[in-house]
Amino acid sequence: MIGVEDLALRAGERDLVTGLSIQVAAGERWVVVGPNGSGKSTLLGALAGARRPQAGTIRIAGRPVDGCSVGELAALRALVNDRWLDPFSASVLDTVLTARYRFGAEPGGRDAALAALSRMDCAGLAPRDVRGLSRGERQRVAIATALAQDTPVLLLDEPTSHQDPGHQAWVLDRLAAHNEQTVVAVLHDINAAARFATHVLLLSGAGWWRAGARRDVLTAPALSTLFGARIDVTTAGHTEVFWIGPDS
Amino acid sequence: MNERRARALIWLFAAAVAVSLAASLMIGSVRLDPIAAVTGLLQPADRSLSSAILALRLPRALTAIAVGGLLALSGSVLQALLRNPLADPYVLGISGGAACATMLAIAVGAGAFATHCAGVAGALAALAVLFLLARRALFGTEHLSGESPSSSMLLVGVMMASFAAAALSLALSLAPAGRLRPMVFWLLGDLSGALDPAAAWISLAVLAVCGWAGARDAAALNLMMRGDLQAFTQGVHVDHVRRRLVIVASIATGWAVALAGAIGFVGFVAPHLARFAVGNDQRRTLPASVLIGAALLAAGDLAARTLAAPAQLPVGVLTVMIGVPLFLWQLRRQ
Repeated sequence: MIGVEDLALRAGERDLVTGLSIQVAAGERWVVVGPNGSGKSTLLGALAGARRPQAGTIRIAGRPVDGCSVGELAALRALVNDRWLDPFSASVLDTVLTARYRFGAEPGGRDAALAALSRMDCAGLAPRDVRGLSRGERQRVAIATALAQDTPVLLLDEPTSHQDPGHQAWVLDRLAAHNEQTVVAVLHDINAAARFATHVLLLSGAGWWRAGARRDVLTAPALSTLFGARIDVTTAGHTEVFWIGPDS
Repeated sequence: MNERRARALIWLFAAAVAVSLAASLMIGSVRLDPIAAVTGLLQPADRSLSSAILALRLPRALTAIAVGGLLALSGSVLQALLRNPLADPYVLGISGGAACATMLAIAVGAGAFATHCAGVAGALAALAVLFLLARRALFGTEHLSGESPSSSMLLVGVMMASFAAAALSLALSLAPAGRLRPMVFWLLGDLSGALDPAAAWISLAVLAVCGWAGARDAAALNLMMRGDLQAFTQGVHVDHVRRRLVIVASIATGWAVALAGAIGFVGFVAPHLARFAVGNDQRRTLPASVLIGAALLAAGDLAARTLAAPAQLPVGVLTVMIGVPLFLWQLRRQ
């Protein structure tokens, strides 16, 4: 679904990543893990077509991103980040309806928007003013907006940063459960990543990267190297729990 | 916001424009009864007193409607585009260019037509300077991932407006004493010179074109209000829409200022009243705002020429005096 070949990203004079090549198959859920400033958001921006990479090509559904029109891209991928703006008051429903822009004037937009809101457990918020929501609620509305865009690829930049632990797991499980969408997500919580991901990309921010199936890549030694901290793993039942060791 | 209610309110505002137009035609030093006004309009060849009076009052009333609509359109577009409820048509400094050129024309004693042309030329020159100084914001490509270009465009506009204000003060202090009064009136905003029917009809045409261009991008503007990156991922060609809307707002402001001077507050308050009434969907806010601005300025101009008759007040003073209480009343009701 997403093909990245020999990608290079820079921020100012700094090489964030070089020679990145990954193949994301349809229905896979990739999580990007790395320290602050390692280029995770930059990578998502490049995948979304909002930022031109220094080198390499990105394809979504076989089409090179830099050759697509803005409208064609909007039909391929949606993006969630936590930099939403609400300068003027508006209802939650109207905010979600912005995602239906690419469909033009269509009668079914309202139903699609309400369905997306229900998937994020926000159906009751539809008539509320977005400016009166809590940050956690606003973030779920932002995810619902991306779902309402109805694209095969979903790009999520820290989609659960404002959720309480219960909602964090709930939101990610919901996205993982009945979903045909291909997801690339940036998550800071390693355990949330382990729970959600089928595949993991580790980004160091200094050019070094590792990608592959979650079990092969998301390991305590690799994470310890990546974050420069001692990270241990404990098995509780069937679940692996990562934790940061006492002397790091 | 209930869609049907919003549509009804927009029709109500249209009716308010019609009422203020009718009142402007009928009320004055000589009062016309409605029948005489209608027959006078229908038979302009008729040389009766009523058609003569109409011929004097119609251009001014139509100009008031067009200028009010243009300022409100520009303010509405800029408040949404800059995501700033404090923005008004003068925030990008376009009016400063128009004002400087007009002042210069008045100071050297140019006629009405030459003065209008100078104002338009000044507005276009200011627009060119804005595009030149804010070209990184308007034509750059990296902004989607970083800082919004609106703030740097706003800063350039504020600087241009400050410079123009200084230039205006300089022009006022150097102007010959005999020309000071028309210059001050123009600065305050004044429609008493709007007697040319051709200019009035052209203004309405400019309003129609700018309104059409704004309405075309209203749906995209709804998305851009919520962030450039978000709008881009949802399918809006953010750069193109921003450039088009800056040009639309600039032409609207430039034409209005060239015609009637720097009439304050209409372009700021009309979008707010429109939002209070019909909500923030720009597809409804823009038309509502245009109609409110038109009605407000037509009513303001009527008051300006009748309150202290036979003396005429500058309408710009009255729009602020009407607009501020109206705005505060709405703010309290929220």
